[in-house]
This record gives sequence, structure tokens and C-alpha cells, in this order.
Amino acid sequence: MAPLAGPVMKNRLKVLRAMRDWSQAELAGQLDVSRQAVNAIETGKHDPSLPLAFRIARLFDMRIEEIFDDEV
Amino acid sequence: MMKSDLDDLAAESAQSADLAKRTALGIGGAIALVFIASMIAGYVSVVIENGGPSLTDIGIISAMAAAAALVAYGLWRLWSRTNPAEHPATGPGEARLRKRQRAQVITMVFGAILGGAIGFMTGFFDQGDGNLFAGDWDELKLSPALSLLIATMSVVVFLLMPIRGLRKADDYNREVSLIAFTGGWLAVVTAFPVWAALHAGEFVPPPHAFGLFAIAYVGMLVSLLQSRWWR
Repeated sequence: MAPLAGPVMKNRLKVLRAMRDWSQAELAGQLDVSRQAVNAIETGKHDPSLPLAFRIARLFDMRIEEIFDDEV
Repeated sequence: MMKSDLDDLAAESAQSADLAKRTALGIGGAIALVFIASMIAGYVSVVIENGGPSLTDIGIISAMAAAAALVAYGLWRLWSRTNPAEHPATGPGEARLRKRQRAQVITMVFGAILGGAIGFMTGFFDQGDGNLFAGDWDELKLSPALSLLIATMSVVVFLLMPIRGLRKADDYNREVSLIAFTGGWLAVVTAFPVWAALHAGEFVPPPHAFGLFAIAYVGMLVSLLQSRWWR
């Protein structure tokens, strides 16, 4: 069954976080969101809003499309 | 400042945040569970006085028991099982997150205390013979001052705090909350015609406002749990 909030994009957030040796809580604090939000994005249960996607891209110094893949 | 001093400060801050969270969950959870348990006890005593349970009574009691189970499940999920002193904040992000969590817990406890106070005052100071579940509104009597106080507190708990919560929440929690609110709304717009139809067929008593309020709340809780943990 499709999620209520629509299709979810694939992303590399977990890999990028692991490369910096950050916990979910650390990344959440850096992004000013809850740890549950980071977990939901990493496990593909939630797509971030555009402003949050930009914050994530800026934090990792990458472009949005290098982190998120819309070909589900 | 030396690194060891910073580590001590981080550990101390983590411990106090965890203690605050456990205290808040303990107090808030206890108030919520006592409130629901007293509602069940009160309802069961009225049912016994009236000569036994009907199908609606069983449904309402089951819904209240489900609400109590959901509160207990939520407490179990939120209760911290690690010692924060052994896992101090590793960076500025975690420290900022703990501050955010502390603010959330304080809000939750404030809401639980206000909600519990509304339930307690409604039950304890009621001067009439009315019963919220039976829908006999004319029999419910409160002093004018207390009724104004409860009405004001209800606006704070059921309107202002959810709106404030939505404004403060991040994307994900806002999405989860909106799904929960939608679940509550769908539960009411479905429950009313179903209840009315079943009443017309003489299966159940007529629909009443408090029953629909309770159905909305259970619908909201179930939707919240579904969107948060089971999707």
C-alpha cells in the first residue's frame, strides 16, 4: 500500500551521516529537526520539505540531487 | 576550558535532561492513566446502576481501555533505556537536540496537567446527577466561575496547544500530526452516520456529543500510532 503522504524518494543520508561518524541525534540537532525526522527520512518513510532538503544539502556541501533520487 | 571539563558538562547536562524527561513522562503518564482509569470506573459504576451493559456501553468501555493501552504503549516507547552519562552528547547537534526535546517534554507535561485538571474538576465539582457518557446535559451542574475556568482551559488544551505544537514542529512531526488530525476527523464523519443509522435500527442509543468526542480522540490516537510507527 502506498504511504498516505505519497511516494518517497531514495536518499543517501544514512551513508553521508556514517561517513562523518554522526549519530542520528547529532544530525538532527545540526538540521534543527527531531531525531525521528532524520530516522523517517533515512528509512524512506518521509520526504523532507524543500527548505529542509536545502539545509541538508548545505550541511553536507552537496547539491540536492546528489543526496536525493526521485526515481523510485 | 579543558576537554574533560567539557565532557563532564555534557554528561551532566545529558543526565539532567534524561531525568527531566523521565520525570515528565512519569507524571504525565500517571495523570493520563489515572484519568482514563477513573473514567472507566465511573462509567462502569453507572452501567451497573442502570442494570447492565448495552452494546454501546461495551463499545465505549473498550474504546477507553484501548486509549489506556495506547498511552501505556506510548510511555513504553518513549521511556529512555540507556544511561545518558555513558552516552554524553558527542557534538553541538546533540546538545541542541536535547534542548529541543526538553521543551517538548515540558509542553507535554503542561498539557497533561491541564487535561487532568479539567477531568478532575469536571468529575469532582459536578453538582448535578448528569453523566457525560449518557448525554443528559441538563443534569450537569457546575458553578459559573468553575465552568468559565474549565471552558478557558479547554480552549488552551484542545485548540491553542495543538496549533502551537504544529507551528513549532518540524516537517515530519507536522505531517504525523496532520495525519492524526485527519484520522480524528474521518472517525467522526464516519461514526456519526453509522451511529445514527444503528440507532434508527434500534441497535444502540441515540448519538451524543461526548461519545463522538471520544471516538475522535481514539481515531486520532490510532492514526498517530499508525503514521509514526507502523507505516
